[in-house]
Parts: sequence; C-alpha cells; structure tokens
Amino acid sequence: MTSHRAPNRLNRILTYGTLLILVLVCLFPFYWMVLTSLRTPRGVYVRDMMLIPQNLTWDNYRFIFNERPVIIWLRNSVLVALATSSISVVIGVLAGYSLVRLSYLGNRTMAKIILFTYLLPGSLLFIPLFILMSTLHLVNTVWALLLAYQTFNVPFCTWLILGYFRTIPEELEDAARIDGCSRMGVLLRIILPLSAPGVVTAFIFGFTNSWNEFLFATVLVKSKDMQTLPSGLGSFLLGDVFLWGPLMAAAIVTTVPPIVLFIVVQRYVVSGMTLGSVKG
Amino acid sequence: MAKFSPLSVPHPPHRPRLQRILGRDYRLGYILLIPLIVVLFGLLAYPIFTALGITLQDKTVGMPGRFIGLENYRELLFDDPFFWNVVRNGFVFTLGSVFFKLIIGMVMAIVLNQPIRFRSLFRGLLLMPWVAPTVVTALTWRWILELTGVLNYILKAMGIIASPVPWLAQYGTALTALIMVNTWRGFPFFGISLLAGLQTIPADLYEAAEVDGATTWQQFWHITLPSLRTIILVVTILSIIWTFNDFSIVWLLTGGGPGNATDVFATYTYKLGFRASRLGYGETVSVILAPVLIGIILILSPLMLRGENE
Repeated sequence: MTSHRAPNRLNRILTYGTLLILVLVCLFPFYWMVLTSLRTPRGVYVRDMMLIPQNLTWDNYRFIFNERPVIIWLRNSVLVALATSSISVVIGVLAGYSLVRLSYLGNRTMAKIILFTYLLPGSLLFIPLFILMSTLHLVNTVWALLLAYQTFNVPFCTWLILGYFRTIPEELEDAARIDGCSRMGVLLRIILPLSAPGVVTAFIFGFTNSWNEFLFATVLVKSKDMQTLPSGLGSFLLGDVFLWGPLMAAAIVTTVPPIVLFIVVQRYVVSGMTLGSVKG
Repeated sequence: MAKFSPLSVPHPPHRPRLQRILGRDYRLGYILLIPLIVVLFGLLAYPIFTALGITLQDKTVGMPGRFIGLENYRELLFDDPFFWNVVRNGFVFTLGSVFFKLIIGMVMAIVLNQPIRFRSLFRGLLLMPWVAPTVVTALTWRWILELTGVLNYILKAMGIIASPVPWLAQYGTALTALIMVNTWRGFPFFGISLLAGLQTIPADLYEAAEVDGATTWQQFWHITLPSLRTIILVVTILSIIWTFNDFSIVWLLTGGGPGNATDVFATYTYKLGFRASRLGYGETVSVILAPVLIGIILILSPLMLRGENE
C-alpha cells in the first residue's frame, strides 16, 4: 500500500506486473502509429507478422511533405500556438498580480468568474464564436483561431498564474516598496522572476492546449492553407480513402512537439497538472 | 479584503472618496484587469449572449435569422427523433468513461506510490496518452479498431474471436469502444492527481493501522480513500465536464454513427449547425444543456477555491 513498508516478494510481483500492463497499454498505440507510418500502402494491410517491423520505408513522410500541405499546417500550428499562449500569459500575469496583490472592490468576484470561465467547455461556444467570426469576416483566417483560443487559454493561464503568485511571500514585496520600488517594478523585478516556473508552466499548457485544439479549428477554418495540424489531420480522414500510412506519419508530426516539450519540462508539467485542478 | 502586513501602512489617514469605496489599489487594479475583461466580455459574454438570441431564430449559415420564439426548443424536446437518444448517449459515455478513468487512475497512483525503480520514467510513460493530441489518439485508435485493424488481428490470433468484429460500425460495440478510448486518454490525469494526494498522507497513519492489525484492504478503505476524498471529487467532476462535452474522440472515431447511434451533445450540435446548416437549432442543444453544466460547475468551484482562499 505505502512506500514505508518492507516490500515483500508478492507485493513486488504484483506492482511490477500491473505497471508492465499499464505501460504496454499506454505505449502500444504509439508503437502502432510509428510502425504504420513506416510501412508501404500495401504493407499496412499485410497480416503475416503484423506486429513485427520489417520492410520499412520513409515514403509516407516524403508523401505528406511533398503532396500534402503538412509544412503549411505545421507553420500555422506553431504560429497560432506561440502567439496564443504568449498573449494569454501576458494577460494572465497582469490580471493575476492585480487579483492577488491589489485590494479593490470586486477582486474576489473576478477570481471566481475566471474559474467559472475556465470550466466552461468549448462545445457551448463554437456556434457563438463562428457567428462572431463571420460577423467580423475572420472565418478562414488564423486570426479567428488566435481570438477563439483566448477563450480557454486566458482563464486557464490566469488561474494557474494566480495560484503561483499567492505562494510568494508578501513581505518581499513590502520590503521592495519601502525601498522605493513601484508596483509595476515589484511585479517585474520580484514577483515574475520568483514565479518563473509557474509562468513557464502556464505558457507550456497554453501552447499545448492550442496545439491540440480541434473543434474550433474545424469550425472556424475550412480552407486547406489556413488549417492547423489537428484540423488538417481530420480532413485526411474525412476524405473518401483512408491512407493510413501517410495519416499516421502526419499524426507523428503532430505528436512530436508536445511530447518533446513534455519530456523537457516534465517536472513543471506534473506540478502544473496537480496545481491547475487540485488546490489544498 | 487583503490583509495588511505591518510594513504596508504608508497610507494617509484621509483617503479620497473613490478610494474609500473602490478599495486601496482600485486604479492600478482595474487597469491591469482591462485585457482580461476585454477577452471575457468580447469573446465569452457577448457571443454567449447573442447565442441565446439565436436560439429564438431560424438562423442558418450565411443567412439572417427570423424570430420564431421558442419553436426551436419545442421541436428539440418533442419532435426531434434523435435528441433523447443523444442525451442517453451523453450520460452513458460520460459516466462509463469517468468510472473507468477513476478505477484505472487509482491503480496507477497506487502502483507509482510503491517503492519502485525509475519511478519518474514510469510516471512519464504512463502520462503519454494524456500528452498526445486528442486528434492523434482518436485517429490511431480508429486505425487499431478498424475491421482490418490490429486489434482484430491480435484477438483472432489468440482465438478470442472467430472473425473480425466491426467495433466502431455496429450498434452493440461502438459506444463501448468510444468509452474505452476516452478512458485510455483520460486515466493518467486521474493517476497523477491521485498520486499527488497519496504522497500527502502521513506514513504514521498506516503504521498505526498496521500495529492495530488492519489488513491492506482495510487500510485502503479507512485511510487512503477518506484522505483522497476532495481530490477524487474534484478530478471526477472536472472529468465529467470534459467528457460530457467531448467532440474530437466521438467525431473522429464514429462520426456519431452508425446512424446517430453514438452521437453526443457536441457532435449532434455540430451536425445540426454545420451539416444541416441550422445554427439556431444547433445552438439550442447547447443552451438546453447549459443549466446542467452550470450546476456542475457551481458544485465544483467552491471545492477548487477552497485551497485558494486561506
């Protein structure tokens, strides 16, 4: 049950056995994705030795980069994710400082509204946002996505940053103010550096959330050269033929950036996951 | 209001009237909130408000709507052949997925809390389904579950099935397959959150229980579960909200099919709005749902605010 007990043999077998099954179940789809992406169109359906890698080829990757606009989708995805998360983090830092450290009428209520909007799901919003973007003539542009993604990123980043700012002792700020530092000086020179892990976490989550977003991307952007990777992938499938090899190759291109990001900053992400949802 | 530490007293005794009403730092406070408020009003409040109006119109894509009162609501509740089936699917899909996520997440948390080697490596590997983009998850599983896919190949080789099963294309298995895929994607979130909770339970609680001769099961039931109560509640409700509104997994795996057999709220709204071009009617599905959702959020937010307000 707990880590303090002397591990007996049965306990150990049970633990590692369960762990092995869980890892297999978690990783098999990734293995299958990679394997399929390296097979020929015919090889994808060969049932003999189906699970074993053989006769592998890079053709699918060549195909998606030459014959499909994957490069353009990749560029759009990077652009949208970087821009959206940067904007949300800036808004979140300003609002977070205001809500945590400044005292004025309504700051408690505002914090509650932010949590409420963070929990509000996108499926309620996609038709209203589509109508708004049509009115603004932004449908089929990346601007529609930049704006639409703020609806989930801003509340989320603000909520996360709020939590981090609370952990910084107020005495530090008071000391700096007595030394003649302005409010904004305190925010820039004291709070921000000290809560850098929190701000980085918010940025990473903002980036990944935008990178992975599918519903708004499908609804707001239809033309091939404005799509992001997820909605581009979706259009692969909804065609007449399922080209599983190229499709899985494009899926790998979509998956690698968030996974690499995750490996680099695993510690932050794990703490952010528990901070974002569970406090105290 | 915020507590004043002894160091932050340099206020004049007579504060201007506005400051007395609006609070010490109202000026900078409100200025810093402007960008946030612009987003909340411009991109959330205003669209939602217009959406409410649109449910009272027969608005279609590219056409101005005509006011038709509550006709959309009447049609949805009484004349729509699929709506109640969508409600049923929504509940089965959500409750089924969340149940399995909780169970498997608990197993993951307990296993990772054991004295194992390479714990952070295993933790990272088990988080992979959560990190991968949902679109990729959905597409990969669609390929695995295809009639010619690898799952049928494995099951046949093991002698479990005689002939390939169209998991996603038949009534009996499609919804179950969706629940399975959603569980695969979502359980690591439960696992990590519960693990964080497990690590805060003091070890002497278990030592005392052991001295009293409690079995492992009794320890789990009387120490572990009660200590994790709040966390379980929070992650479960969060997951209910997310699952209830899932679009990608259902849309990319079955498209709500066969027929409308696996349509959930988001896919049905999408079909009505963008396949049938009936934006007003589609939005009515969302709006009818909103009270349930807002209720759930109002239960959840005090739990999540509790840690914040100390």
